[in-house]
This record gives sequence, C-alpha cells and structure tokens, in this order.
Amino acid sequence: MNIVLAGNPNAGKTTLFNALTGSNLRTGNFHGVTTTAAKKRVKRDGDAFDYFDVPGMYAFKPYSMEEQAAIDEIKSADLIVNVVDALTLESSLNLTRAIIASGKKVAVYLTKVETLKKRGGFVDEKALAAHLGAPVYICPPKKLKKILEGGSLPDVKRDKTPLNKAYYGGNLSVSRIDKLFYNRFFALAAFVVLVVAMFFFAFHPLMPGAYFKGLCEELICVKLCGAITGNLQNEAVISLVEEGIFGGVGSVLCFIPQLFVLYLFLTVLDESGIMSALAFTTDGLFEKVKLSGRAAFSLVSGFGCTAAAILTTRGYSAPAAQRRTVAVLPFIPCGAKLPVFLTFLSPLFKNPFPAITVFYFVGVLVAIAASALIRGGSEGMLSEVTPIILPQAKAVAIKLCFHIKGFIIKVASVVAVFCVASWFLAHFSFSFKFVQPDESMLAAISRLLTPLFKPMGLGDWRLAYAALCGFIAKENVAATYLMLMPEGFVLGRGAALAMCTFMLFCPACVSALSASVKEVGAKFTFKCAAIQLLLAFASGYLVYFCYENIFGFIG
Amino acid sequence: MSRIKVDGSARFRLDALGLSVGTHIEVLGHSLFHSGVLISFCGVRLGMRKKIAEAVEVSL
Repeated sequence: MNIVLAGNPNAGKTTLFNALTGSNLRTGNFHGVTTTAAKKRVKRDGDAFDYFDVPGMYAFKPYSMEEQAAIDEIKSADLIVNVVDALTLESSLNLTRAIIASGKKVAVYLTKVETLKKRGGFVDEKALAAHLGAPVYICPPKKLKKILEGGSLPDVKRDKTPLNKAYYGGNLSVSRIDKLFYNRFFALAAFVVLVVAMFFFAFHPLMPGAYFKGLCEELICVKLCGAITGNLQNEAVISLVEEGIFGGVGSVLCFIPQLFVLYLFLTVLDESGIMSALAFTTDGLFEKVKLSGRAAFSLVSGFGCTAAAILTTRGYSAPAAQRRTVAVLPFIPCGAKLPVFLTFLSPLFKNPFPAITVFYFVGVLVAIAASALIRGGSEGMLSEVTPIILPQAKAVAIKLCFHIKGFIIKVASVVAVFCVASWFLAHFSFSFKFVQPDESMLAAISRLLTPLFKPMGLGDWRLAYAALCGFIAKENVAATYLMLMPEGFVLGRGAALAMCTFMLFCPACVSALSASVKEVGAKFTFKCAAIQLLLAFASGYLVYFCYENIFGFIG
Repeated sequence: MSRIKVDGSARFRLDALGLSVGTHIEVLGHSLFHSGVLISFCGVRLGMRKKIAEAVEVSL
C-alpha cells in the first residue's frame, strides 16, 4: 500500500515521516527543506506499507520543480495523509479540499495543535471532519500508524458544519521577536554576528572547539596510537598504523569538536526559523545578482555540505536561477574544508579565528559576485515565512548526532580507504619494495603534477598530491597531508595561504559534482568545474606572489 | 485586498494560500533595498517581490 504524506510546506510532513518509519530525514523550520520524495517500506503482520514523504505543495498547479515532484507521487498514492499545520489551517484547507476532490482515500493529520492552544485557538476534530468530509486526527504518530496500517479509516460524510464551529485560530498577532527579525537591517546584522560568534567558539584557541580538538589529538593520535604501535614489530605495519591510520584518519576525526560547533549553529538556524526570516530580508541583496532570498538558504546549507546545498535548489521556480546557484555553491566553504583550513592556518597563527573567518566571508562574497556574472534569467520570490521559535533541544540533538555520525562514517569509509591506498602508494616502489616516500610510486606520479603547484610555493610532491585528493572528498586533503608529512608543518605563511585559497575556489568533491550533474546536467557542471579550477590556480598563484613580494615585507 | 492583477503560477499560489479580494492583510516589513514586502493574513506570513506586490491593490 502506498501512503503519501502531502501538505503545505513546513506542515510537519517529514517530522511525521521520521516518526512513522524510524527514518532521520532532514527537517527545519522553514519552507523548502524537503526537495525530493523519500520512500520507506514498513512491514506489519506480513503486509507492506510504503510511506512517501514529498515536498510541500499548495495546489495541484505547481509553482516550482519540487511541487511537481509532490504532485507526481500523489498520483500513485493508495492513501494520502494530508498533514495540516493547525496554525495556518484556514489557508491549508485549500489543498485539503483539492486532495479530497481527487477521489483518493484521505486522512487529515493536524500538527502544532499545542501551539495553537497556547495562543488561544482551538480545533474540534469531529466538527472539522464533518466540515471536510474526511477523517481528521490529532494524536501521537504511533497511534496514527496503527490506524493507517490497520486499514480502518472511517467514511465521514460531509455536512454543513461551518468552519468557525470547528476551528478558531486564536491570537494571530506577530510577536516582538518576529518583528525584530523581519527588520531588514537587524536580520542580516544578526546573522553576521551569529556567524562570527560561531567561528569564535569553534576556532579561538581558548574556546571549547579548539580545546576539545587538542584533547582528541592527545587521546587518539598520541595515547591510543602509542598503545597500539607499542605492541607491533613490523616496520611497515607500524608505519601504516601511525601514518596511514592515525596520522591520516585519526587526525581528521579530531576536528569533530570544531565541526560540532559549526553544525550546532546550522541546526539552530534551521530549527528556529531565523533562516526563513533571513531568506526574506536578504532577498533585496540577492535580487541584485539575479537570485532570490531562497539562495540564502542554499548558501547557508553550503556551510555544511555542498551536495546537500545543491539539492535544496530544487525549490526554485526558474531553472536558470537553479543553474546559477548550483554554479556558485562550490565557493561556499563546506564543513569538509574546515579541517583543511585548520590544518594549514593553525600552525601559522596563534589565533586562527580571524584568518578562517576571512576565508569563509571571502567565499560567500565571491559566490554572490559570481552569480551576477552568470548569464540567464532571474528568480522571483513568493514564499511563506515561518515564525521564529525556540528550537527544541531534542530536535537539535538528533540532528547534531546525525551530522556527526555522517561525518564519522564518511571518514571511517571513504577517507580511511583513501588514506590506506595513499599510504601504500607512498611507501612502495613500482617493484613493490617497502621504500621511503620519496622513492615511492606516489612520488614518481605526483612529481609530474608538482610544476602546477610550484608557483603557489607548494613545490613538494606531497602537497601537490594532498591538494588533488580533495576532488574525491575534501577531508582527504588534510588526511593525506598529515599522513604524508608526519614530521610536522613545513609550509611558509604565503604557501599556506595559497593552499587555503586554492582549496577555497577549487571545484567541489565527487559527491557534489554528481548532485550537480543530476540537477543541471553534465555539460554545465563540468564547464563550471573547469572555470573554478582555473580560478583556484590563478588565485593561489596571486596570493602567494602578493604575500611573498608585497605583504611578506610588511608582515 | 481590493484587487489582484496577478496571472499565471503566482496567481495559483496566491489563490491556494487563500489570498483573495476582501482578505484583511497586515504589512510586517520590507526586504533590503525594498525589493519585497512581507504581509500577514489568516496566520500566514507571505513574502513577495515588488513586482507581484504592485499588482495587488489594497484599500485602507
């Protein structure tokens, strides 16, 4: 049986889907979080139930690509659960009536009823069901699941019960905090302050992020590594464990405390509704570069993961605007670039917080400026803005665990395999003898590419290889660098800044490229990637040249 | 709301949200450079660009 959860954006469809199926799909307090349909099969007493979570929609006439995706899934539904936000019930019922009129079996599930009661409103399930001619439920998801899978949906006859007997919206006035965030100057200023505060807590040497990173390094890379290698005899195995595993993978895992701060900030933005207010208030800025405030959401998502940010562009109504946003998203430093910046900047600056903050802001500014240069039409804006709420600690904790778990899995799989493979290539010759890294297969191959990186001050083959590893996953850059250079940091300030600049502008990783190909096509994706690569090299050369010939004399 | 001179998919969305002639609206704010306006009606908060907003007539 196909059960589709349909409703207006931000009604709570994905939250319900997660509760019904035990999934952990992304949620947020703004419109347009879900951009693709998700399916999960649940079995009960031998029967299979396929639950579908679809993007939000307002009517059966789509305004954006994601709405079309929702309409397509509804056509194949055996049962539609219309998830309705009790706080905006009156406008939500337009879709409800359209779904009921489609002739499909429908159950209406109301969300945010407690919040409705707090503002003095009420809703009568039975009266509303009679008004609509469909069963209405206000109950925990577990109970709804039993009803849906039990096959016992009642037939409800529509009568002349007026809506005002079944529902009262309560006090609809806008709160003071909402009015503050709807002020165009306050919202943007608040966002900039929050971002700077995030970087401060993550990167300042005296703050928790940096402190716990140091603690992780001591526990994992020194004590645990020492305990394991102390019991080993074989030189090659010791090298693999020390350099390949702990030096590479272990070192990247130590960035988790600082990534935790980054994801905490992004999650609070997601859950509070500040993102929604920001999207509206910054729309004027994005209009100048042929985008809409919707791009604010995509760009901020890019701080976490470029691939995930690319998926958010499905909510755009104009394909040209989607292409433009996808093209500039790789300039936004994602969470995977954070270990790279920290690896190269921390040894040079006692307090790397200002330097890293500058790189992040430069990335955002370049992304916005690049958007203005890309040809094509622009995107309009006609979207709901959500109220600002205090995020629920449980929801924030679940999302944080999900992000951190995803990072650990990626490092333990992709990065670990890459590090072990790199270690092998870096410690064995073409005749498979265990040799010093300078005599290895990797050295011979990487030296062919070193001339490209020499003008950035990165004349060492190990640095050239580390830079190129970022195309698989950006975490590989820090991991392979730390693995291949166990003797410690050897770069000068100019070269380190050039390396960070190269990483800032270079094309996204394989995951983001494949997401981009799926959304905007291979030709456009690879054309953008080629331009980004040229820009990455050019800016790396420029930064190194400027530092060594101009700023080096001053600094 | 006294008149809505909007066509196409934008009109469908406004209709779907329940914004029609006679709806009481409240202006909550403007975006940067006054490119758009945020209005509230029936518990819904809707941000719209100047182009659409100018096609909607209101009487005070």
